[in-house]
Amino acid sequence: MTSADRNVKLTVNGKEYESSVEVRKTLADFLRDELDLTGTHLGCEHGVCGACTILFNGDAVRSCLMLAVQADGADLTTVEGLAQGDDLNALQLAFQENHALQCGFCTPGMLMTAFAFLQDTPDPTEEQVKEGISGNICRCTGYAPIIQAILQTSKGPALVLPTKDEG
Amino acid sequence: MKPAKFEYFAPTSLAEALELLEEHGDDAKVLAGGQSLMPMLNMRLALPEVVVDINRIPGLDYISPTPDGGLAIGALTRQRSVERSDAVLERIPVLAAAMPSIGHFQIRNRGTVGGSISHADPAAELPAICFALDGELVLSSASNQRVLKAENFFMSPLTTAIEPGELLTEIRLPDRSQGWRWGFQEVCRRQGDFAMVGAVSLLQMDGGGVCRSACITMFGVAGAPVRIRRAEEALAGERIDDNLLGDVSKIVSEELDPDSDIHASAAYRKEVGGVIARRTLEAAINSGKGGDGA
Amino acid sequence: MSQSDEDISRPEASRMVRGRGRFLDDIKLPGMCYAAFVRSLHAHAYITGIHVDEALKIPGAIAVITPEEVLPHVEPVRPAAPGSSDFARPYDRYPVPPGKVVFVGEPILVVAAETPHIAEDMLDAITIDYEPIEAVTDVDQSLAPGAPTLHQGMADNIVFFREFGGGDTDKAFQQADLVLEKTFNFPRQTAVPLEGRGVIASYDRGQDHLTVWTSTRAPHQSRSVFATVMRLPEYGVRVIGPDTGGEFGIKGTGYPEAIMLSFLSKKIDRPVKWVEDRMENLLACAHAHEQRVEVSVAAKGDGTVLGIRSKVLVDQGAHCLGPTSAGLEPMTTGQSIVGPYRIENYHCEAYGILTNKCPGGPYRGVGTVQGVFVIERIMDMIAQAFDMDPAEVRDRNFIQPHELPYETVAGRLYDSGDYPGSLEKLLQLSEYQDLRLAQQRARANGEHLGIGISCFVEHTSTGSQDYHKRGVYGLPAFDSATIQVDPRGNITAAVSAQSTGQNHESVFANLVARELGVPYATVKIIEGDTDATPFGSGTGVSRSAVSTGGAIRLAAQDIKQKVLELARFFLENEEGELDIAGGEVFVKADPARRVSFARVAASAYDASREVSLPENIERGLRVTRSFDPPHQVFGNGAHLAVVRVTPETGVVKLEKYFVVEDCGTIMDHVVVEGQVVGAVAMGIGNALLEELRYDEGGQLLTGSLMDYLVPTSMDIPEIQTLHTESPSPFTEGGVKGVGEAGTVGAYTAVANAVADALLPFSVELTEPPVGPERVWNMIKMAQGNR
Repeated sequence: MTSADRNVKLTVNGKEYESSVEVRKTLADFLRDELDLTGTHLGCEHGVCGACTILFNGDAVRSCLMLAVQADGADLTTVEGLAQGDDLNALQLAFQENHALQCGFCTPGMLMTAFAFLQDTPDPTEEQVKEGISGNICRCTGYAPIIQAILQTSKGPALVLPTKDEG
Repeated sequence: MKPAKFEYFAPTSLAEALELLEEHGDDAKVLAGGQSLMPMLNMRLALPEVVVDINRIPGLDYISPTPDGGLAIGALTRQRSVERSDAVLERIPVLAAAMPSIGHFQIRNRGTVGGSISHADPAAELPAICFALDGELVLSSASNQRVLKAENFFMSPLTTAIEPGELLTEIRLPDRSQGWRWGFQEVCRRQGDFAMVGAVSLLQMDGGGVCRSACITMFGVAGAPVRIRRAEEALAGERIDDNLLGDVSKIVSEELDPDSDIHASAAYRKEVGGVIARRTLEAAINSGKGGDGA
Repeated sequence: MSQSDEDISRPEASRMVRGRGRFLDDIKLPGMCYAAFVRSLHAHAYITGIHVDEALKIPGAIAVITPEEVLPHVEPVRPAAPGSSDFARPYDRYPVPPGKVVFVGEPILVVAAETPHIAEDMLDAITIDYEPIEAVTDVDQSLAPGAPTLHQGMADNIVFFREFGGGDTDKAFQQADLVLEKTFNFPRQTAVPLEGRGVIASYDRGQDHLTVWTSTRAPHQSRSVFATVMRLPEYGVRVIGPDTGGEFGIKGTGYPEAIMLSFLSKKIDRPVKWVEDRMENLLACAHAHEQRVEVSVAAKGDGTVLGIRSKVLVDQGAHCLGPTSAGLEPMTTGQSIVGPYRIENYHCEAYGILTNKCPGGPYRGVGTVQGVFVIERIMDMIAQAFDMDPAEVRDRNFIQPHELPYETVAGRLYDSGDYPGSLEKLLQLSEYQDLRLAQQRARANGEHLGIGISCFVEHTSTGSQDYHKRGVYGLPAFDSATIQVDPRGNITAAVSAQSTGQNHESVFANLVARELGVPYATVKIIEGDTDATPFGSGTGVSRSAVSTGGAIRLAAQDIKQKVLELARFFLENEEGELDIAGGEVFVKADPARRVSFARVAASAYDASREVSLPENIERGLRVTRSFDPPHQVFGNGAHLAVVRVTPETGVVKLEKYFVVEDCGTIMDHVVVEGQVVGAVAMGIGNALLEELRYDEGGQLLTGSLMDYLVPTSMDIPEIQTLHTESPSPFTEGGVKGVGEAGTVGAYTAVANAVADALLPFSVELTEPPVGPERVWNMIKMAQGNR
């Protein structure tokens, strides 16, 4: 097959999508442009800043470094998929309470990284949290309140992704 | 920064992939973890006509014990799997120790062992470890399979002995646990960055503090990882003390012939290379089993 | 009732954690297409040919705009026009190259395509013919006799020069016990906001009207530039600033890309979007901070500074972005060198010099970071020369609190502050004596622990008076607020500022709520739309708390007056004093007699069944007020950094960091703390990591985030802060700005700590960033000099 476009079928935040996409389109662009999920941001497009972080089959990845076609058959979670309807999860609330964001541009990537990190390391030390977010750049906060927000969340019940809405 | 056009294939078997590589030769680039290739595609620094995405090929993602006590690692094994592997920790602890220095965990979630080794960045950790361990690389093509020793694999920056039509499918690393001491260290601007200069040292000692054999590999200091044989020879058969370590450090500096770039000068790499090599030797000796420094 | 800073809900945060921010690239308009820029490959060259035909053949290609199409229809921006700045040299800056390019990355033409991918495909198919000219890539080359000049009409490449000072420096140097002569070289740096620039231009030919969405901090100034350059009336342009992902100075005005996009939109009759990618941002947005500063310092044996002579040479790059840019860094650095100290003899020559590199613009700490670095390194050098404690030397030089307001010999008026008090608090906070003991023990152990102090003042919220004193005219330096109460008592405050991460929505809403005595939840702040907000300067120079805050306070006072006046109609024509609290107007002498704010508001709109106002009362409840800060006001700070240096590798590890911050009356403790900590992190990056490098031909070597390094979480130690308040006598509420202070302090405290750690080596530390290579080199050079 040498078409410039491929069909992809994938699940994002519990919802199924099917679309034809140009093979050179990155996953980040696909989410933002085709699916209107603009919460995932682009800060560098070369894998350094982490603003584009999403969960790909449960793993935190840089979506600017994946092609959309690679997500065929995958189960993705973006920042829009963290809250249960209007109810923010404990991590999102902790970010608000701890003033862990100022301009908000790095925030979705930070949240997804933090979510994945806490799945892996449910009871982290401060040093571990610091290292856990070291692949995400923030230019506003100096990181301290983000670390506090994640630590605070780790002391509570484990985070879960929302259940699918019925109807 | 959006990629230029390319043809895309996602073969679902190794045979299919090898046929594609045979057909397209130099026009094709292999997409594995994407952590090195995608930035280059996004920046249009790489302009392949064809991208062969090998992520759908089953059977290339494994960490298997080999009869000699080492490990065979499938090329598509994610770096995170290596990081978490009990078998790696047990058999090749220096590899386990190096993993957290590779980028950040999000990169390691996608990045593969084979991808990093084929990309052959002179400042990368996996090529250096592979080289330091005298690893073997299995290269498969449509008509053939050959095994190369690491010392014959890394040629120059971003260039390996992989021929057009070939795919790295397996990396074989020997046991470096019992009787081996190790040290691993790099100097970076920030944690997770590529090394400005790095060292991997492995020692075998006898009971009386005498070095039986040493292997000192430097990375980030040349076009590919380098062994400092003269330093290794200086250690072999000797009782290791501060003076000897000082001499060895000097020898390493003398042997190095690095380039300058915007992160570090040749002079810096030369001298600090000696310092770091010494530190890895000290770590190897002092902790008994080995350890790394920050 | 206003909420406490910790408790208020912040709508700007709430949407961000949901991923519902609306940044420029999130905006999609019907019919929108995508733009990309062809950028110069040469640092200095004539353009002799432009070939676009192949690009237009690509499926999905829409159009191209070339310089010839734009030039006849634009006015140049005159960054240094006569009258705009007395000390800057005039030249015309066109939004497209007038036949030649002057820096690598300069936008030459713009293309439109159906997708951003195709737009970039078009770039690959366009060829430009260049005739290269000799390029000047540093100030010395630029000043050399016979050097090529960058801009037509200029005799040389000096775009700004001013000589100033006071006292008698000759006498000071005659009396000196110690004369230090040092040259400082500051690296080129840039702000790297996580969101780059972005513009959507939409020209409506039917309405003859241009709407521009742009990630900006100054919508009204932006509009003025569009209107002036494109020869449109201001009502013919609307600028909308959506959520902005940080800017730290560089998303101001004056970017040629936006003008070119507007022409493109007009030509193709479609909205067109451009989102800068990171490489463009590093290459061609705005660079800053590159300077050479030569100083001679005369000091007495007791550690007091008698006088300073300085020469400030700013590498301005190829253009000035706006009317203040030419003098911005030269003057700010020149005036910052005297610090919070009583230095009575000063002479400064301040230059802005053009080079064939990316144009210079403001980056947080503009000019102050360098001036503070100079004087604070000097203080440490004096301490070293006389074997005194660095804190002690500073103490001997401070301006004392009772001397303020104090006019410095560099031409600034410090309004209020307790500089010795801030340092004293810092020493207590950091347990300084224990740190010094720890240092001694470490030294005995062969370890290199260093303690660095930085004391500084930071200018904030410049007003028009100060600009005029600097010889800058035509730059609005006031901000405005329009407060409107609707018939049901809900309140909007439309302001001229634009938040780019400063939490204006919550901070200003809380201010309005406090001033009016109404619930926080009833107030909404409107920003970022020139059709919906009053004219004003915008955000920048750490001004919003003062100038926009000041305008809000004045407008709120007026609204309150009117509300109280109307309330009397509800309270049986009560003549006694009234006040408002908790959303209710009440009689102070008899608080049981009250009427809700909402009921009063209704009457202003004839929407009340209870009260009909007499005819002579103006209907509506809407006030617009402006505030022009009568003087710049000066926050101050004292920072202390503790580092551990490994001489063999040059690696610096930051272990602890302490801040004492005084930004006058604090409006929002949470936001102030956030600004300080965030700014300190940025300053740490400046001090240790950030450096843009060019080769001799003017090609940028540090073109991605792998080469231009910004700090991650691992680079920032624990930061302990203490806030103190010296209200300003010149502002509404005594407020001062705070956005940049953290950066100013950290840039130097970290460097001083490294120099202190390496005291046994007697290194010359005059050139940040202090990365491993540079530290290692400094030690080598010091050892070589023995």
